[in-house]
Amino acid sequence: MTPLRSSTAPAGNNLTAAAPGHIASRAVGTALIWLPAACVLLPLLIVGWRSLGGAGTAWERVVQYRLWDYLGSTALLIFLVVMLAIAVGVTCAWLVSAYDFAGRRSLEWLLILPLGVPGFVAGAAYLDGFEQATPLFLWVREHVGLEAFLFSQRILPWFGTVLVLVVTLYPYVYLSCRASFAGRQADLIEAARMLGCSPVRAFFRIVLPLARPAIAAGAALVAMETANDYGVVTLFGINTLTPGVFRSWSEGSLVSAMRLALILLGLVMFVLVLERAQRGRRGYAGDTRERPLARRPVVGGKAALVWIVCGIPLLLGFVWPVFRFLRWGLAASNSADWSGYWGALFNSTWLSLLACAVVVATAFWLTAGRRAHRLPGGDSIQNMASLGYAIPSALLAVGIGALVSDLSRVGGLAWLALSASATGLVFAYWVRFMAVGIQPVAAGQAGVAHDLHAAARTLGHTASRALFRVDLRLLMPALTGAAMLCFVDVFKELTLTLVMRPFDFETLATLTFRLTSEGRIPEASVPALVLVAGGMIGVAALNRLMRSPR
Amino acid sequence: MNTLLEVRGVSKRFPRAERAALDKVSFDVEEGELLTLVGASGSGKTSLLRILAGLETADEGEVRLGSVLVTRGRAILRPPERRHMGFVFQNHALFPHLKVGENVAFGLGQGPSGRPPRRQRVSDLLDMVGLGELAGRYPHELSGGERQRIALVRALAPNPRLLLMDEPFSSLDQSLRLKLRDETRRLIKRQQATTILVTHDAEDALAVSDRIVVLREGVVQQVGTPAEIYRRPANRYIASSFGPCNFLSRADFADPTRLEACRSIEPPALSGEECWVRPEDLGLSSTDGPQSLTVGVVLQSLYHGESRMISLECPSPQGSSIELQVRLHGEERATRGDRFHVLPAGA
Amino acid sequence: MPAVIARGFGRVALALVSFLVFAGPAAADEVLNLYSHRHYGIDQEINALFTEQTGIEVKVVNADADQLIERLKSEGENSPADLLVTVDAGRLQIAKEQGLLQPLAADVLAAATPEGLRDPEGYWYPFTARARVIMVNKERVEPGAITSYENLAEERWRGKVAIRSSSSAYNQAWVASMVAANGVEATEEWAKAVVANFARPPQGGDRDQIRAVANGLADVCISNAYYLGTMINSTDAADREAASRVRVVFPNQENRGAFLNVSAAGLTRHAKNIDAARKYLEFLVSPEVQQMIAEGSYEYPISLDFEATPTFEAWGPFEYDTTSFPEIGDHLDDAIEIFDRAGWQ
Repeated sequence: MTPLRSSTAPAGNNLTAAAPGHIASRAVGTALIWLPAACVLLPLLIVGWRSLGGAGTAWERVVQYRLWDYLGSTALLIFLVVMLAIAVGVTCAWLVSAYDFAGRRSLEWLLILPLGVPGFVAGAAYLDGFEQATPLFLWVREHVGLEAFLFSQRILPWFGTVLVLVVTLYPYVYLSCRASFAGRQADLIEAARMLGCSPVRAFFRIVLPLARPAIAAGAALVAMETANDYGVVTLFGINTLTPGVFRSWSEGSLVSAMRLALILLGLVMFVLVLERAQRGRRGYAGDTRERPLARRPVVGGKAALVWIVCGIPLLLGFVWPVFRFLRWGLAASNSADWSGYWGALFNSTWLSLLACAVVVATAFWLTAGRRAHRLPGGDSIQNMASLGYAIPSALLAVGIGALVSDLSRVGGLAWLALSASATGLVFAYWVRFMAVGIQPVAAGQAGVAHDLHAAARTLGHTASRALFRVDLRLLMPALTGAAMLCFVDVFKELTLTLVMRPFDFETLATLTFRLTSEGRIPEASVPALVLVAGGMIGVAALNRLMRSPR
Repeated sequence: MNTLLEVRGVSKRFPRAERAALDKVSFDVEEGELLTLVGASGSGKTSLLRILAGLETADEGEVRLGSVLVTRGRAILRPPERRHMGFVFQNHALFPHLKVGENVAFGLGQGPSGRPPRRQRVSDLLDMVGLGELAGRYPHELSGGERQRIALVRALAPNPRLLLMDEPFSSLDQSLRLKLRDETRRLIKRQQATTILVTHDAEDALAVSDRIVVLREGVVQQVGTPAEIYRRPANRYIASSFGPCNFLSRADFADPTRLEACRSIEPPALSGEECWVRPEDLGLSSTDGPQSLTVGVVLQSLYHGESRMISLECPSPQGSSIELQVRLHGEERATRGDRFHVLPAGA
Repeated sequence: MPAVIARGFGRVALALVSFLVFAGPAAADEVLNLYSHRHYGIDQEINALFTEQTGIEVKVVNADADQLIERLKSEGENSPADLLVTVDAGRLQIAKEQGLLQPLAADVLAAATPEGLRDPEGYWYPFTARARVIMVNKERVEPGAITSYENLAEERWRGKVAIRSSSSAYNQAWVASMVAANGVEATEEWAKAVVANFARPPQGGDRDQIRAVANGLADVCISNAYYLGTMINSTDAADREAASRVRVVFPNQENRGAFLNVSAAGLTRHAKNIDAARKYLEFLVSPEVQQMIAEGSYEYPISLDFEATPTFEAWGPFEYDTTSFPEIGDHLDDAIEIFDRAGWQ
């Protein structure tokens, strides 16, 4: 491989081009390599810069009356959701990895389904469910007392929010853990058993500690999704930082909104640093053979127990909300506003397609393209571009939104002003979801032999042609998977879309949310179900990308 | 000496396999001895070891530890964690998230008198293999040889009744292997640990074992001391597995009676016509003599450092020619094309 | 390299082309551009009728009033909007203060609307009235048990009050009117006591508060009257059933009257179609359209014709507040601050 890289000149016409042209195109290439990462930093810079400006009494009021409430609620919510998601995710992953029982293979992918249900859809179902449970609370008021009743009403929104977020987000931990458990741990568990550990103790002393990085990675994702959530917390009336940012913005104090967004960023960064720090010096990869866990068969009562335990999150996160929406949809089919639905579907689809095309093209460019053209940068470029995922949606929204409205003040291009909002939205999607494209493609690239690309070069292709004819084909599975994931993420996205969309522009997500928050849940059933169906595409993609080796 | 382990009629067949992995394997292990299971890959030896450990089930057969039945057919009557056996895996299986000291201490459980005795034992064990100062490192920070030694020490730490070792030296390079092999045997003997070692390397088996069990395609070929295996192999397969061997037919020699002078192998199932002679039991002379077996032309001379392996082509009275391997020690040289007389060594 | 650049440009070009779909509305001859926060089905019918009768095409851009105001500010002279339509007078006051509107002299409009409910300088004109009233559970609350907004602070309603979040523009305008009537300090005390009486932390919209009262979770709530109208006449049996368990109480009949907000429209500063705008506003207050509104969105006609529909008949006539209404815009900031201080989320 090395001789090919250094001594073989690409047999295209690059060498015959004048030297300045070659340098210029390399400069352009390098600039384009850094562009995505720079774009990710742009909203941060804007918000950081603008929030230094004067905010006046609005900010003081926010600090005095609202900030600690926001901060405390956000931190508490993240903590509760993460802890419970870990408990649920790890348990399900372990049951599915260590035991064999009837229907196990189905259960393995069924457990991912709740990921396809947007939080606010599940939230609407539960909100209605709580309303149905009102007689219970009335009973408490009658027979236990007013204070108990009031207490229950204060707890209920928290209970609902945590429940909804846990049952729709636990699949992140589940998938991460499942991959870890499916890895090379059989030898280690056997070694532990030979040293006197029962299987249960071996789980706690070996398997769980070794899965810690995976658990932490999944938990970090859950934490970020929770921090970014707007739909669920708004439905239940929990005041976290994300709705707080938008509230300050709509009250006219952009600077307050930006500062709150920065605080949210700080919180998210803190969580991510925690995740990194817990790794320490320990190793996590053994040099053992790829011998996966041998499953222990369970039958009868024990198998039923496994199904019950795993069935609970599946039921709560997927079956029940979908079932309720199906019933509503069937009941409300006559009062549906179909033209609105079609419009929203159209918008959701083309937005998602456009965003995912841009994201995947970027991912391909940053990974294979960079390597093919031998541009500098390495992994750090990919890492920086992936940072976009960690930036809170609220921050992206205020940052890019401010940029867009500033730009539209400049110059008299009215049409640009209106379409700039949509461009800003796709730009925000791009920044946020770049990581969703890069990670699978980079992982796919690691598996692709560079030799093949080099071979194409020696056969006379220019770097670009080799890129398209060889790397593109080889990376196609990873690219497809990334495209599907990205499509679905944008399809379901609410927070950014709600705030940054052009006027009169509804996506399925915003439409569903608006209808459910207006209490018109039955009318929301059709777009909600379409959203879930779209989510299933993402679930299928994830399952394919993360299929356990057995 | 007492019998520590009894293996009776253990058989196992993997699904969709053409033949059985293990076919009615039976042998005993005495207390304090180091027994080696030798066989090529696919001979079933690792499966057997794992069945003894309780990590896998057999289809039929019994395993008795002491006088306790621990495995009968598919039933694992006593799970691995209660068999009080040590197991050294082929790739060490050191816990990557624990330090070396913690790895070694893993099987020691909660000491009744608390920590200091445990720590002392750990450091004693580590000192025994010369790795005392590595207690605070993590496994991924060690070299291959160091990891192998830690794995051994970890398995020995709880004073197991039986130590099982699965190809412990196969991942090491030559010089390290030899060193570790000797060190391992010394350590085991010092701890007086009964050991079953699995390997595909005949040389390792001969070097360390008290007794050897030879397996081929799941069937026990022979059980015996290294000398017995080497000098009196039960069949051709065993003979050639443990070193080069000349398989001679009396009809290839003008005077077959002279063969009696070789320290030849006398397999019991031999038909009168065959005679097996190890290369080191033959010698070369430039002159003919009364004990000369035949004469031959050197085909090839391979230098092995402490010896030389010469291949000669010798005419046979039957008309064809045979090839003989002769191992020479000393400084005698032989080049291709030389003519030599072949005679029993020491003659 | 060229391939790379071409690809980059291709991306941008694709984006631009896609967004031409969203290019601003082209100015044509007979067109009226509305920036509207209204989102009722009846509005589309009204606009269609207008086009039918006058031939003027009505183009509507829907968004929250706050966002519309932001947009007007950033568009400046290039804004295509002719009218800013809101569902709350407070927002129009803000728009007026920020110089986004211009006055329209229109006697027809002035005559059609009660004086206390429109902008005296003619920057905006209302066309519906939206009463923010108390609603009580019929079984649990006897008539006359609660008669004023101020009553909500009383001890007897501890754990029985349901009101939506303070982020709602309706609440902000309503409390602003209370500040105008009772002063900042008294309103702050009142707000703190009301918060202590909440049955649950604010959650959901007005409709959810009505449902809470219907279920018995709370005894009283504050809501815009037309929500109940919608529920009474809903196709959904559950909605109708819930509505039947709730009774409307028009508060403060002894003093200033029930709080009324309005849906109103103001002429934008840089409107291009002023004539069309005037015609539209006059159209909106015509009896025919007012009837459509009363029957379509259950808002009160701006003429406050109580017998207009059976629903209004059932609720009966009421006195409404015109004294504090004009000062809403002045006290919106006070209201927001009071909410913060009272812990009204």
